[in-house]
Amino acid sequence: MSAVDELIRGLPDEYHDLATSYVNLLTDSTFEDIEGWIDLISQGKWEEAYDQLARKMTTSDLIAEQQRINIALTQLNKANAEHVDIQKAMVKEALLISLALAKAKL
Amino acid sequence: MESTKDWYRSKTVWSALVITIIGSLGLAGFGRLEGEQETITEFIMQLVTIVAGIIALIGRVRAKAKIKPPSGTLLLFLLIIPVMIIFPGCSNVQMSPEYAQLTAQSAIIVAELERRCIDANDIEACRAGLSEAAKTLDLIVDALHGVDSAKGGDL
Repeated sequence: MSAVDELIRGLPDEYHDLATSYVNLLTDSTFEDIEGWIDLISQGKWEEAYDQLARKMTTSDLIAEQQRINIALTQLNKANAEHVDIQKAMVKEALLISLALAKAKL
Repeated sequence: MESTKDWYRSKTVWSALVITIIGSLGLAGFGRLEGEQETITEFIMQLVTIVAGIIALIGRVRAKAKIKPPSGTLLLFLLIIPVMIIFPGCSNVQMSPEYAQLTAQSAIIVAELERRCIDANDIEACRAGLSEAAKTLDLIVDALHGVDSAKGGDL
Protein backbone atom coordinates (compact mmCIF):
# COMPACT_ATOMS: atom_id res chain seq x y z
CA MET A 1 0.00 0.00 0.00
CA SER A 2 1.41 3.39 -1.01
CA ALA A 3 1.83 6.33 1.35
CA VAL A 4 -1.04 8.12 -0.43
CA ASP A 5 -3.36 5.12 0.09
CA GLU A 6 -2.34 5.19 3.75
CA LEU A 7 -3.32 8.88 3.97
CA ILE A 8 -6.69 8.19 2.31
CA ARG A 9 -7.36 5.34 4.76
CA GLY A 10 -6.88 7.83 7.59
CA LEU A 11 -9.75 10.01 6.30
CA PRO A 12 -13.29 9.79 7.70
CA ASP A 13 -15.35 7.15 5.82
CA GLU A 14 -17.52 9.69 3.98
CA TYR A 15 -14.45 11.13 2.20
CA HIS A 16 -12.89 7.82 1.06
CA ASP A 17 -14.76 7.64 -2.27
CA LEU A 18 -14.13 11.30 -3.07
CA ALA A 19 -10.40 11.05 -2.33
CA THR A 20 -9.98 7.71 -4.16
CA SER A 21 -11.88 8.94 -7.26
CA TYR A 22 -9.87 12.09 -7.72
CA VAL A 23 -6.43 11.44 -6.29
CA ASN A 24 -5.28 10.07 -9.69
CA LEU A 25 -5.60 13.59 -11.10
CA LEU A 26 -2.81 14.60 -8.75
CA THR A 27 -0.29 12.05 -10.04
CA ASP A 28 2.04 14.75 -11.34
CA SER A 29 1.94 16.54 -7.98
CA THR A 30 4.54 16.22 -5.24
CA PHE A 31 3.81 14.05 -2.20
CA GLU A 32 3.53 17.25 -0.10
CA ASP A 33 0.89 18.63 -2.52
CA ILE A 34 -1.11 15.40 -2.31
CA GLU A 35 -0.73 15.42 1.48
CA GLY A 36 -1.98 19.03 1.53
CA TRP A 37 -4.94 18.08 -0.69
CA ILE A 38 -5.91 15.16 1.58
CA ASP A 39 -5.49 17.49 4.58
CA LEU A 40 -8.03 19.88 3.03
CA ILE A 41 -10.54 17.04 2.68
CA SER A 42 -9.97 15.84 6.24
CA GLN A 43 -10.66 19.39 7.46
CA GLY A 44 -13.99 19.32 5.59
CA LYS A 45 -12.73 21.88 3.02
CA TRP A 46 -13.67 19.60 0.14
CA GLU A 47 -14.78 22.51 -2.08
CA GLU A 48 -11.28 24.00 -1.90
CA ALA A 49 -9.80 20.54 -2.63
CA TYR A 50 -12.18 20.08 -5.57
CA ASP A 51 -11.27 23.53 -6.91
CA GLN A 52 -7.60 22.49 -6.92
CA LEU A 53 -8.55 19.39 -8.93
CA ALA A 54 -10.63 21.41 -11.39
CA ARG A 55 -7.61 23.57 -12.15
CA LYS A 56 -5.60 20.42 -13.00
CA MET A 57 -8.28 18.90 -15.27
CA THR A 58 -8.11 19.28 -19.04
CA THR A 59 -11.04 21.09 -20.68
CA SER A 60 -12.36 17.73 -21.92
CA ASP A 61 -12.11 16.34 -18.36
CA LEU A 62 -14.00 19.36 -17.03
CA ILE A 63 -16.79 18.91 -19.58
CA ALA A 64 -16.96 15.15 -18.88
CA GLU A 65 -17.13 15.90 -15.15
CA GLN A 66 -19.95 18.41 -15.70
CA GLN A 67 -21.81 15.81 -17.79
CA ARG A 68 -21.36 13.26 -14.97
CA ILE A 69 -22.78 15.81 -12.49
CA ASN A 70 -25.77 16.46 -14.77
CA ILE A 71 -26.49 12.72 -15.01
CA ALA A 72 -26.32 12.42 -11.20
CA LEU A 73 -28.64 15.46 -10.83
CA THR A 74 -31.09 13.89 -13.32
CA GLN A 75 -31.21 10.73 -11.19
CA LEU A 76 -31.77 12.80 -8.02
CA ASN A 77 -34.55 14.75 -9.79
CA LYS A 78 -36.25 11.45 -10.61
CA ALA A 79 -36.16 10.42 -6.93
CA ASN A 80 -37.33 13.91 -5.92
CA ALA A 81 -40.25 13.80 -8.38
CA GLU A 82 -41.32 10.42 -6.97
CA HIS A 83 -41.14 11.86 -3.43
CA VAL A 84 -43.24 14.88 -4.44
CA ASP A 85 -45.82 12.58 -6.07
CA ILE A 86 -46.12 10.55 -2.84
CA GLN A 87 -46.52 13.79 -0.83
CA LYS A 88 -49.24 15.04 -3.16
CA ALA A 89 -51.07 11.68 -3.06
CA MET A 90 -50.94 11.66 0.76
CA VAL A 91 -52.23 15.23 1.03
CA LYS A 92 -55.04 14.37 -1.39
CA GLU A 93 -55.96 11.24 0.61
CA ALA A 94 -55.90 13.18 3.91
CA LEU A 95 -58.14 15.88 2.48
CA LEU A 96 -60.55 13.32 0.97
CA ILE A 97 -60.80 11.49 4.32
CA SER A 98 -61.37 14.81 6.12
CA LEU A 99 -64.05 15.73 3.59
CA ALA A 100 -65.76 12.34 3.96
CA LEU A 101 -65.74 12.70 7.77
CA ALA A 102 -67.05 16.25 7.59
CA LYS A 103 -69.85 15.15 5.22
CA ALA A 104 -70.77 12.24 7.53
CA LYS A 105 -71.09 14.65 10.47
CA LEU A 106 -73.34 17.06 8.56
CA MET B 1 -65.13 -0.15 30.62
CA GLU B 2 -68.39 1.65 31.17
CA SER B 3 -67.25 5.21 31.94
CA THR B 4 -66.15 7.60 29.22
CA LYS B 5 -63.47 10.27 29.05
CA ASP B 6 -62.66 13.07 26.61
CA TRP B 7 -60.31 12.12 23.77
CA TYR B 8 -57.68 14.67 24.83
CA ARG B 9 -57.31 12.93 28.21
CA SER B 10 -56.21 9.71 26.48
CA LYS B 11 -52.50 8.90 26.45
CA THR B 12 -53.14 6.58 23.46
CA VAL B 13 -54.60 9.40 21.36
CA TRP B 14 -51.74 11.78 22.21
CA SER B 15 -49.13 9.10 21.50
CA ALA B 16 -50.72 8.31 18.14
CA LEU B 17 -50.75 12.04 17.37
CA VAL B 18 -47.03 12.35 18.21
CA ILE B 19 -46.22 9.35 15.98
CA THR B 20 -48.27 10.90 13.14
CA ILE B 21 -46.51 14.26 13.47
CA ILE B 22 -43.03 12.71 13.64
CA GLY B 23 -43.85 10.60 10.56
CA SER B 24 -45.09 13.69 8.72
CA LEU B 25 -41.94 15.62 9.65
CA GLY B 26 -39.82 12.86 8.15
CA LEU B 27 -41.95 12.84 5.00
CA ALA B 28 -41.63 16.61 4.68
CA GLY B 29 -37.86 16.25 4.68
CA PHE B 30 -37.13 17.61 8.14
CA GLY B 31 -34.73 14.75 8.82
CA ARG B 32 -32.62 15.55 5.76
CA LEU B 33 -29.64 17.22 7.37
CA GLU B 34 -25.93 16.67 7.04
CA GLY B 35 -23.64 14.23 8.86
CA GLU B 36 -23.76 14.46 12.64
CA GLN B 37 -26.84 16.72 12.64
CA GLU B 38 -28.74 14.10 10.62
CA THR B 39 -27.68 11.29 12.98
CA ILE B 40 -28.77 13.27 16.07
CA THR B 41 -32.10 14.34 14.51
CA GLU B 42 -32.87 10.81 13.34
CA PHE B 43 -31.97 9.43 16.77
CA ILE B 44 -34.28 11.94 18.55
CA MET B 45 -37.13 11.26 16.08
CA GLN B 46 -36.77 7.50 16.51
CA LEU B 47 -36.55 7.83 20.30
CA VAL B 48 -39.70 9.98 20.44
CA THR B 49 -41.53 7.53 18.15
CA ILE B 50 -40.51 4.55 20.33
CA VAL B 51 -41.52 6.34 23.57
CA ALA B 52 -44.84 7.42 22.02
CA GLY B 53 -45.45 3.84 20.83
CA ILE B 54 -44.75 2.42 24.32
CA ILE B 55 -47.05 5.02 25.96
CA ALA B 56 -49.78 4.17 23.43
CA LEU B 57 -49.40 0.45 24.22
CA ILE B 58 -49.47 0.98 28.01
CA GLY B 59 -52.37 3.40 27.66
CA ARG B 60 -54.36 0.85 25.64
CA VAL B 61 -53.67 -2.03 28.07
CA ARG B 62 -54.51 0.08 31.15
CA ALA B 63 -57.50 1.78 29.57
CA LYS B 64 -60.46 1.85 31.94
CA ALA B 65 -62.75 4.26 30.16
CA LYS B 66 -64.10 4.55 26.64
CA ILE B 67 -62.87 7.55 24.73
CA LYS B 68 -65.46 10.14 23.88
CA PRO B 69 -64.79 10.96 20.21
CA PRO B 70 -63.93 14.56 19.34
CA SER B 71 -66.44 16.71 17.52
CA GLY B 72 -66.39 16.71 13.70
CA THR B 73 -64.62 20.06 13.50
CA LEU B 74 -61.96 18.98 15.97
CA LEU B 75 -61.46 15.67 14.19
CA LEU B 76 -61.01 17.57 10.95
CA PHE B 77 -58.45 19.81 12.65
CA LEU B 78 -56.54 16.80 13.99
CA LEU B 79 -56.43 15.23 10.55
CA ILE B 80 -55.27 18.49 9.01
CA ILE B 81 -52.21 18.71 11.32
CA PRO B 82 -50.07 16.23 9.31
CA VAL B 83 -51.18 17.96 6.09
CA MET B 84 -50.08 21.31 7.52
CA ILE B 85 -46.68 19.82 8.30
CA ILE B 86 -46.32 18.18 4.88
CA PHE B 87 -47.31 21.33 2.95
CA PRO B 88 -44.32 23.45 4.02
CA GLY B 89 -42.16 20.50 2.90
CA CYS B 90 -43.71 20.86 -0.56
CA SER B 91 -43.30 24.61 -0.81
CA ASN B 92 -39.80 25.05 0.63
CA VAL B 93 -36.70 24.05 -1.31
CA GLN B 94 -35.33 20.94 0.40
CA MET B 95 -31.83 20.33 -0.93
CA SER B 96 -30.36 17.02 0.16
CA PRO B 97 -26.63 16.95 1.09
CA GLU B 98 -25.93 14.96 -2.09
CA TYR B 99 -27.74 17.53 -4.27
CA ALA B 100 -25.99 20.41 -2.51
CA GLN B 101 -22.60 18.77 -3.07
CA LEU B 102 -23.25 18.18 -6.78
CA THR B 103 -24.46 21.76 -7.20
CA ALA B 104 -21.33 23.08 -5.48
CA GLN B 105 -19.12 20.84 -7.66
CA SER B 106 -20.94 22.13 -10.74
CA ALA B 107 -20.32 25.74 -9.69
CA ILE B 108 -16.57 25.02 -9.38
CA ILE B 109 -16.38 23.23 -12.77
CA VAL B 110 -18.36 25.94 -14.58
CA ALA B 111 -16.25 28.68 -12.97
CA GLU B 112 -13.07 26.94 -14.18
CA LEU B 113 -14.53 26.54 -17.70
CA GLU B 114 -15.49 30.21 -17.69
CA ARG B 115 -11.95 31.18 -16.59
CA ARG B 116 -10.48 29.19 -19.49
CA CYS B 117 -13.03 30.63 -21.90
CA ILE B 118 -12.23 34.23 -20.95
CA ASP B 119 -8.53 34.08 -20.00
CA ALA B 120 -7.28 31.42 -22.42
CA ASN B 121 -9.82 31.99 -25.18
CA ASP B 122 -10.54 28.24 -25.11
CA ILE B 123 -13.45 27.85 -27.56
CA GLU B 124 -14.32 24.29 -26.39
CA ALA B 125 -14.57 25.56 -22.80
CA CYS B 126 -16.84 28.41 -23.97
CA ARG B 127 -19.22 26.30 -26.05
CA ALA B 128 -19.47 23.04 -24.11
CA GLY B 129 -19.15 24.84 -20.77
CA LEU B 130 -22.07 27.15 -21.48
CA SER B 131 -24.15 24.29 -22.87
CA GLU B 132 -23.55 22.06 -19.83
CA ALA B 133 -24.09 24.98 -17.44
CA ALA B 134 -27.46 25.68 -19.09
CA LYS B 135 -28.42 22.00 -18.65
CA THR B 136 -27.43 22.15 -14.98
CA LEU B 137 -29.63 25.21 -14.45
CA ASP B 138 -32.54 23.43 -16.15
CA LEU B 139 -32.01 20.46 -13.84
CA ILE B 140 -32.09 22.73 -10.78
CA VAL B 141 -35.32 24.34 -12.05
CA ASP B 142 -36.79 20.84 -12.55
CA ALA B 143 -35.82 20.00 -8.96
CA LEU B 144 -37.55 23.18 -7.72
CA HIS B 145 -40.71 22.14 -9.56
CA GLY B 146 -40.44 18.51 -8.46
CA VAL B 147 -40.21 17.38 -12.09
CA ASP B 148 -38.50 14.22 -13.31
CA SER B 149 -36.02 15.69 -15.86
CA ALA B 150 -35.87 12.43 -17.79
CA LYS B 151 -39.65 12.69 -18.37
CA GLY B 152 -40.42 16.01 -19.94
CA GLY B 153 -38.39 18.27 -17.71
CA ASP B 154 -36.78 21.45 -18.95
CA LEU B 155 -33.63 19.56 -20.05
